[in-house]
Amino acid sequence: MARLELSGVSKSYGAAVALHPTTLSVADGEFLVLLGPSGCGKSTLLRIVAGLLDPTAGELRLDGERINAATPRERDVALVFQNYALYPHKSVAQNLSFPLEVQGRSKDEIAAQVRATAALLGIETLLARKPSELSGGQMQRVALGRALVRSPRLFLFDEPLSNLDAQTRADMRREIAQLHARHRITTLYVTHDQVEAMTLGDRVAVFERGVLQQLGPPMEVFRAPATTFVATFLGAPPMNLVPVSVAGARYELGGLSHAGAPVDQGAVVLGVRPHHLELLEPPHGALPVRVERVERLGGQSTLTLACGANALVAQVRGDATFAPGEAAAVRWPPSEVHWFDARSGRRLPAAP
Amino acid sequence: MNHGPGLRLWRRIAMALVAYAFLAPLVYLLSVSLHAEGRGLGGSLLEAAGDPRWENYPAALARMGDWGRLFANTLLVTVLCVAGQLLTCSLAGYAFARIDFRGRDALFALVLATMMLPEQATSIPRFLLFRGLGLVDTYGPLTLPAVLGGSPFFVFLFRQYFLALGAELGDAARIDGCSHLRAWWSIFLPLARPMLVTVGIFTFLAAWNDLWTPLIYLMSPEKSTLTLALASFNRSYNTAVELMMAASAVVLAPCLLVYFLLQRLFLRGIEVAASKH
Repeated sequence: MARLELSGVSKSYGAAVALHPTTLSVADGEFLVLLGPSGCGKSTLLRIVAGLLDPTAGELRLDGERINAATPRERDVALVFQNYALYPHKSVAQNLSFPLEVQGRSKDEIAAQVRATAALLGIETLLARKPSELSGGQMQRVALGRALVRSPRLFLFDEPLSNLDAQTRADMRREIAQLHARHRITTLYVTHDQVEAMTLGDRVAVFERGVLQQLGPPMEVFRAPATTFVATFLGAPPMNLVPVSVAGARYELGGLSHAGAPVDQGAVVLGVRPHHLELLEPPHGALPVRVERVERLGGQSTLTLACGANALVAQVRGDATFAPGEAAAVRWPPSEVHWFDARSGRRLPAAP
Repeated sequence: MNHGPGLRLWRRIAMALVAYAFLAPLVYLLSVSLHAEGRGLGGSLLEAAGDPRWENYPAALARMGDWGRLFANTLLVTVLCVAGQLLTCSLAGYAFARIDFRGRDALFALVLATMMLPEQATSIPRFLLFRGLGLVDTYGPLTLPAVLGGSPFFVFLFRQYFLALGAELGDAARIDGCSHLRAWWSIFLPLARPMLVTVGIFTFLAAWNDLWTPLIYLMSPEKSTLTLALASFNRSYNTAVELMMAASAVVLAPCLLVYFLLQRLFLRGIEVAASKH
């Protein structure tokens, strides 16, 4: 049982602001992903919650109790590090039992807990080994075990899968999801990987340059990104963003005038996801483009298209027969168009 | 690397010369210690081989007086120095490396700055301090400096070593519920073994061979250390060189023993200290 509330939490180093005042709450048992590029403040926030870093301002509450001044021990949080941070001089078993020893649990209890945790993670055969004798995936499994062994109130992950190869990363991701489904420990998970964010999180908090940009369920954030940054950070390939100028609620693109602009006048950004672009044989009245590049990925192909001075990326079926240099036309469902303010990057409501 | 046989030969010759330079005095000491009485410092290295006077050794020990007590005194002082130095230097190094407190860097600079003071410059104020504390003719002046943080250089070495171990390890220990003291004792100290051995050997040799401090502070003969006893072999007239060398060999033996036993760990610590900063 743990409900975490942050209000106005910020961190600055002199004039440099690592994290602007941030307010968010994590419900009991929730899995919240903090997503963003490196240096966006997500790890700073995690370390503040862990008690490794003091916030410059703001308040942290765990189950309603103020924990600003509490040590990591008093907060009873567990943290899984990107580089595992296993104790190199201790065996796997000793790494697992260490947090319990520090808590002063009895020998029998420690042995039982270590056994149960090792069984849960399938590392019973590794117990006698030293960390230097383990593979990356095994080390992260042990690190997970060390965090899990004392049933913390709060589970924190700091890019735990970044150092693993693709296959192990996918396996561990599934395992973390299963562990959370089974134990329902409130979790904060820092990553820059959108796949982890989409698949693991009950909700996703997207950060950019120390500012929380958007907070919501992954699909909601994906469907209605609040800013151009969120629009391009979530989704691969990223959303197409095309600056257009609007006059009389019509906008111009590819030499043609289109209806459906969200404002009457001014500069806006049109956004459309690559998989919503439909390619047609020219002319067909749609937007004329030229195929610049074709990347065949098997099941699907990624096309780079030139549309006047703008570049568009389209995701089409793998057997689509377009070649570089060809002329084509694109269209997209009007309901899948996103509009953003050109200056602030903020989302605009669609045209009425 | 590709070394030709010629280069390898030269390297061997160079190393042999260096080894000779270090070994020769030791061999000479052993050789003289077996000389007949009154031969003084003359004679070749091999002179004693024909007629070794093993009785010089019991005679030298007898001349030293209560040699068992001298050994015990020296051992006590040395062990206190080594234990004190290892604990306090590593603890201070941990604090400078791992704890973020106000004025830390300025304080660390100050600690390093004290390295520039030669011992001779501080010995008079230090004597006045210990006299004021009533500690003259006790082991306090010999051991307290080591127990109370000792050498700034060793604090520096431990700090560098702990910094090189990485911040995540300390964070992990804190997350696992450790206080700083517990993190130092359970995680950082065991990982610093090569450094502990290196600092331990340096401290052992310095304390065991120290003549200056006991000479200044110790008066009672029953508190005397081995180096003081060795120094007393030097008389204005009639210095029994062969006995002095025999006594020196006996006093030296523990140092050699400690070094050879811990040699491999010692070298690892030196390498670490040289490569990480």
